[in-house]
Amino acid sequence: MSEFNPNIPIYIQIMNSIKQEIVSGSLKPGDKLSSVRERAETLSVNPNTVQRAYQELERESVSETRRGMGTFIVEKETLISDLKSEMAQAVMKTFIEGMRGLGFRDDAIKQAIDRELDGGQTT
Amino acid sequence: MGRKKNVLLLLAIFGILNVIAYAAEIGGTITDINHMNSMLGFWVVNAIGATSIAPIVMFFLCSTGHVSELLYKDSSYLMLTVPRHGWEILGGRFIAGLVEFLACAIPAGFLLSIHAAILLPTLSSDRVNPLMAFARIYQQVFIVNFVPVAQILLLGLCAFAIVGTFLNFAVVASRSFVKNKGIATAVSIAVFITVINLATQWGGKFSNNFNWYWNIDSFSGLMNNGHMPTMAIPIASVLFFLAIAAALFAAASWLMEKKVEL
Amino acid sequence: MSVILETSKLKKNFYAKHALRGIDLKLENGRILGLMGPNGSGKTTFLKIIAGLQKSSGGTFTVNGKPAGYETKKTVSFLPDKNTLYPWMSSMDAIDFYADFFEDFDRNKAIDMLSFMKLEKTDKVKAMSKGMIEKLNLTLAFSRRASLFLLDEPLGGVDPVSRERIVSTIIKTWTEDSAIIISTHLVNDVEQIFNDVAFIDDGELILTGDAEALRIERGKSIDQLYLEIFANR
Repeated sequence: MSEFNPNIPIYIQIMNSIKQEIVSGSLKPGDKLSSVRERAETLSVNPNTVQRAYQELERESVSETRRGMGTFIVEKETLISDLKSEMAQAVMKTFIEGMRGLGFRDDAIKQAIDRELDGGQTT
Repeated sequence: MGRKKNVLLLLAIFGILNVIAYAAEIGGTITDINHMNSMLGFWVVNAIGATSIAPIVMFFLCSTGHVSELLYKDSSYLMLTVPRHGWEILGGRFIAGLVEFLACAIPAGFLLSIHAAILLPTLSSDRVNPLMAFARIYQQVFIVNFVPVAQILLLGLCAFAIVGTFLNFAVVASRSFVKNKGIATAVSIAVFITVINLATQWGGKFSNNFNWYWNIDSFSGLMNNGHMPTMAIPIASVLFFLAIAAALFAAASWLMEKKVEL
Repeated sequence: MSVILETSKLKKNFYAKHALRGIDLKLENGRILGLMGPNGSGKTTFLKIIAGLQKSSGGTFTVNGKPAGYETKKTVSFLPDKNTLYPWMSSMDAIDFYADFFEDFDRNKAIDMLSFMKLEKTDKVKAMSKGMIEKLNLTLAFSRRASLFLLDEPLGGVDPVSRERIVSTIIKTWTEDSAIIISTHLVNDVEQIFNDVAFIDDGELILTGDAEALRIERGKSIDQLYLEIFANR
């Protein structure tokens, strides 16, 4: 379990890393995803797990399977921005929950963000 | 394959052993066999002895086809996971054992015949040279007396199969229900002896009553004055033994498939 | 979904010792099961019974619906934890041997795998290191088109690089129609390839389930779960 977080299902972690690749540009809309088996071998995970990740991506309309050819990233103009905002939202949610857990109220959270962005001086 | 090496090594040793013995014998016969140097004589006796005993030992060792090795060493794991019926495994090993035995026995027989060719003429009145004696021996064994020799070989084959089956049954049984190799061996030897005694007695009586004998008697003269007696083989005993062997083979095959564990 | 292996109350006794106390297990096609437990818990006994090397003392099992016997041996490929090849054999000899005995053996696949494992065809078993023998045995076991693969501690005594190759080979060989059972102590190296896991102790299954589900439910890796379960027993 070296590269994987034990608290999150592996298939979700795989999905996230693929989404990350799309957002960062290493995977472009229309690109073919490596086969289930190849990815399973590279990551040293069960092919079933990769299969599930691919199926979920398809369900989320991030990818599509073309019969006899493989799985491809959908050619949607808004794909990258959609994913970006979806992933950003997840990051923000975790951040806000964390800050609230520390006792910060919403105003204080906004101030902390500004300070951090200005030069990293928090009290 | 590992066994092939062993057999070849054995044959090589015997080859060398006997060649030296031949040299001694020929030297002895030319001068006078009675005055053969005692050390050479010793060598000759050893060579002949070893070459005669080895096939007998191999008879017992090979008749089982080394099945005990199969069941007691790690490599047997493989054998037991293989999709082969019990009889296929035991039968195959038996044939391999037979081939191994013949690979040893035939050369041994050949080597001994050379000794006979050199030594026998000295015992009879006519001075035949070894080459002629050699030819004559083979003529007597394989051509003139072909039928009785074949019959004896057939009996030998039956004996080989019977001994092998009995021993294998003991080995397979030991791996299936008795578990303790020592106890299993002791029990099987006891059973072996008992069964042989009973079978010989009953078979003998049976054959006697019905006068069921197989007469091996068509020997014609060896060495001019030789005359082999008629060998009367009680057929009932032989059939009895073969039947028991067949039953044991079936039992061993069944055990192999259903009960043997590692 | 077809059931490759199903055991029902499988028991095994060695005189007084209860090695297996009634194992109920079901394994479907395409799944990889991790069988974990301490030494002497019954893992090897279980696998040997399914492979045909031992006979159960009670209970039954079927492989592809067929009861234990000659038929099941044809579709079960067993990789034992000790070497079972003759010392005089070379890799090629071993391949020929397997090809003779198993109808479903794929020679070409075996030869390819040999080079993937960096083994020479002419190397003899007696000259091979433990890791090399393990890799050769794995090659042979996996070149069969079997329905059920049973691997008994395939990673023991093998260096980390070879371990990776072995895990890679397992994934490569995985097919939708077959199932694989891996018994191991080295949980950390392989847990992400398990679909299902089964923890066994003293002949009994104490926990079974889907690997992913257990990880989320318990909030820890299977390796950590193993420690947690067995530290207190």
